[in-house]
Amino acid sequence: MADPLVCPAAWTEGLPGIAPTESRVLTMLGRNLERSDEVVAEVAPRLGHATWRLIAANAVIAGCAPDDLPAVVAGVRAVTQPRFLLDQVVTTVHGLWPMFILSSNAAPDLASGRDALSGSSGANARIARAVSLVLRNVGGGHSDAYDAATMGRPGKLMTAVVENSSLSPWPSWFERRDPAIVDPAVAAYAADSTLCIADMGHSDAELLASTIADSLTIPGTYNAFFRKDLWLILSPSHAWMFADAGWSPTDIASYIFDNAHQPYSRLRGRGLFGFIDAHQAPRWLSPEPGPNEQISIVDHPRRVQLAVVGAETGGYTTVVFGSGVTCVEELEEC
Amino acid sequence: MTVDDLVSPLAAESTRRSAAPRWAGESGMITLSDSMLNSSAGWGRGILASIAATIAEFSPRAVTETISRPQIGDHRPHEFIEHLSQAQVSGLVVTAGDCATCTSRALRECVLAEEVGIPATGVIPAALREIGNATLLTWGRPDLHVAWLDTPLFQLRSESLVSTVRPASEEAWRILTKA
Repeated sequence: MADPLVCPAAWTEGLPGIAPTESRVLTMLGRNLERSDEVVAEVAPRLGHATWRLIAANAVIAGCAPDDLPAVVAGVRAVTQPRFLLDQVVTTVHGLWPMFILSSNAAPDLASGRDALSGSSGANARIARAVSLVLRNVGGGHSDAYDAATMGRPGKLMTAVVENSSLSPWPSWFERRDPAIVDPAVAAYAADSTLCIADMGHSDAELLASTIADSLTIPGTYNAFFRKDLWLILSPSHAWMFADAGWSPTDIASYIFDNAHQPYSRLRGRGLFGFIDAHQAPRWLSPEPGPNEQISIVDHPRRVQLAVVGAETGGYTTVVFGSGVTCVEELEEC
Repeated sequence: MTVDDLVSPLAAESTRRSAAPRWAGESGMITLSDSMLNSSAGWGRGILASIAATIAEFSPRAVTETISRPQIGDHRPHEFIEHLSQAQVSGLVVTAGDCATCTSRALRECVLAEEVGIPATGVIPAALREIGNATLLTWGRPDLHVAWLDTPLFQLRSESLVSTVRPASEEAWRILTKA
């Protein structure tokens, strides 16, 4: 006899889950009941069909409330956009896994505050977990099947952040990215490990920017090779230090592009060099740079993505390294 | 309450895909595809050289072509299979194993090749058996045989590679030729 509260272990990543009973799934679907069998997305690598009903069942297991379902569905849609390359993200031996960035209106009751990047955040514990369970249960993304990560990383369990618009000096990331995006929305990024940068003993914006830039130039990251999107999660304190000095997010991104660099001689032959450069050499490697040429961590300032997250006190910026681009989906009214 | 009373969160079972008739083992072109990423290590080239030597010995009238097909970025298997089909190749042997993405994608190409009538198999390190079997199961061909290589890639040495890989090469030839 199954415990009516706990779902079978084979359906989760190891943590307990809520049993997806028929009544709980129906409650989760709410007004979307008629769409139960509608396919939201084909989930790589196994190309399982994520119907509303399957997504709802996984959302129940993750502990979501019915109000969370639109964000979960948007998350599934974001990671299944072709340019996200979900197949590669899931099957790689690397520790990549989607990170989700939610506009503050996407999860009003999960407004970013203290401990925003940790498991105590509802965004992590519910929404990111629900999408991850869809990737696992529908897409085959678990270590008994397609997920071949050599080591993985703790953040694979669940990583989502909700922008803290109430404490941000700037428009939301979504607004800055494209004013046509209708808030609420969810963004997804193929993330690697995070690095927390502390800088609290001054109020000099340029010094802070240089601390961040200097912390980014690590030869072994995927960013050092691909030079694609890089996420900087700024605490409100850091964001205001910049804003008070007249810096916009565009200014910060330009500074990072101009200053987070290292000579090509420090990169050549290390990291991903020798592994995939013969097959998928980024454009910047042709022609091959000279040994003293400075190589920025991103190939264009627009690759630097900034969101303001977390609580009022504490001067921290969390860097999220990763691979590829950031995909956005607006929330559908459910 | 039992598990059967719960709503399963799992994707539906995959549809079975068809198998190709076996190769007669006589004449014809066998495509050998190297899907490894690390070309400088020479693992893929070495494994395929061993397979080519085995085919030359067991099927002297056959010819082999070796191609490099690293699997990264956007994957377009159907274009590759269409090319093989138009070229009327008699068989496909892939090798992969320094990257799990490549392994899964290379085996998917085997599944698709079989579906259009081209017998196919892979020579893959046994360390990737789980992702390989998951790929074949969920792509509708759990019965597609793979020649698993027990030696880890990093233990292959150029001077002994051909002899180390030989049993797997013979197994690949048998898979192509036997139903």
